[in-house]
Amino acid sequence: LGESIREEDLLTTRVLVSSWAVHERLDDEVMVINLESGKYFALDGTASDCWARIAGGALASELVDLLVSSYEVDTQRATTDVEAFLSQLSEGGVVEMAPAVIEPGSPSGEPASGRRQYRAPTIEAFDDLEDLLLLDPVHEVDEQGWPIAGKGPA
Amino acid sequence: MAVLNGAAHVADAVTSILGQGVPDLEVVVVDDGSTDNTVEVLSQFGDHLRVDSRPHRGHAAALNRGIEQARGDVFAFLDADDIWPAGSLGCRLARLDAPDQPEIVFGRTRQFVSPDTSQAVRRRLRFDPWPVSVAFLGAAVVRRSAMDAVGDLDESLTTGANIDWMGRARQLGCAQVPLDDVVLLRRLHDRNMGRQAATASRNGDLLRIVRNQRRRRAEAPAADA
Repeated sequence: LGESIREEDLLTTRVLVSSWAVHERLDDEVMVINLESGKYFALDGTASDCWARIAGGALASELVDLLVSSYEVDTQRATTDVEAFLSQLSEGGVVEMAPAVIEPGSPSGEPASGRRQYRAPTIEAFDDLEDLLLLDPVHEVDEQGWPIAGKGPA
Repeated sequence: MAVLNGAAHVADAVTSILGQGVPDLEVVVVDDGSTDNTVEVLSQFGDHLRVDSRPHRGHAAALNRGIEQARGDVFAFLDADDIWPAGSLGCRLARLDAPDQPEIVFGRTRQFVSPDTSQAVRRRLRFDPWPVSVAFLGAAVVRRSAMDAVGDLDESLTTGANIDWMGRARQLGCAQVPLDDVVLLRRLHDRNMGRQAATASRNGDLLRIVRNQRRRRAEAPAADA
């Protein structure tokens, strides 16, 4: 579907980890490799929190809720930042967007007390191992031709 | 060369090395505890190569043992199931001797499906049939100075130790020069196909490699600028 999403679509967008992506979280740091492009990405802080939610299956709006409830940020700013963040991930080929049917009436929770200092979620991209990660491993596909990249180590 | 239960293809690999026509070639094969007849297959090459058989400790450890034993000024590596085409080593060494004196030279790799590969695996295999420019160790020659600077292969990695090694070389700023010549024929066959468990383990290693690469970059931000 679309590579970028508009604000009004955010509520109805489901974010999925791409089948080419392998990822792992260690402490507060997430590393994601796109085995199709050979690029890899680092996500810290708010980005790592958002990724944890994406890996478990999330609506884009849930990422906004997560930021607003955990960090010192308002909904408008968080919405803008989530859009930019999802665009980065989508350009990196590590997530796919799909339309979602939303169930009405689950408004954002009230901001919790003790929210942490906010920094916009962002990803750091690296291409210094592009050739090596791209070709190794050899891509194996299933009977339908989809890649077997797995969902990161068990 | 490191080999583990490679009897089916190791003779092709060794023959391709000995056929390079490069003088003063020292061939060290570390047998990583093979339980098939690899050692017997290797023995047919007599004293054209030195075979070191040792208990199984993994591919990276076996390569490190080979590096330790080799006495030359330049290192080249070939996996026991791959092949160097004619002239492979010669063109890499010639480029290494050029006036700019690069520390690492690597040529292109062409992947091929081994004739003994089952139809079932062939059907599930997607790969780039064109020569690709990838700094595999098997496609590279490395000066001893670079080998000493970068250090051993990481023995804690099950797979991908060569990727990690090359990543470290890049971070240290070792000059790497690509060649257009095809210098490595990479065999795709049943055994190097990732079954599910192997795929998970390999992905885990790749994630560790990129994580380490990123940490090293953060610690020495200007090293590879």
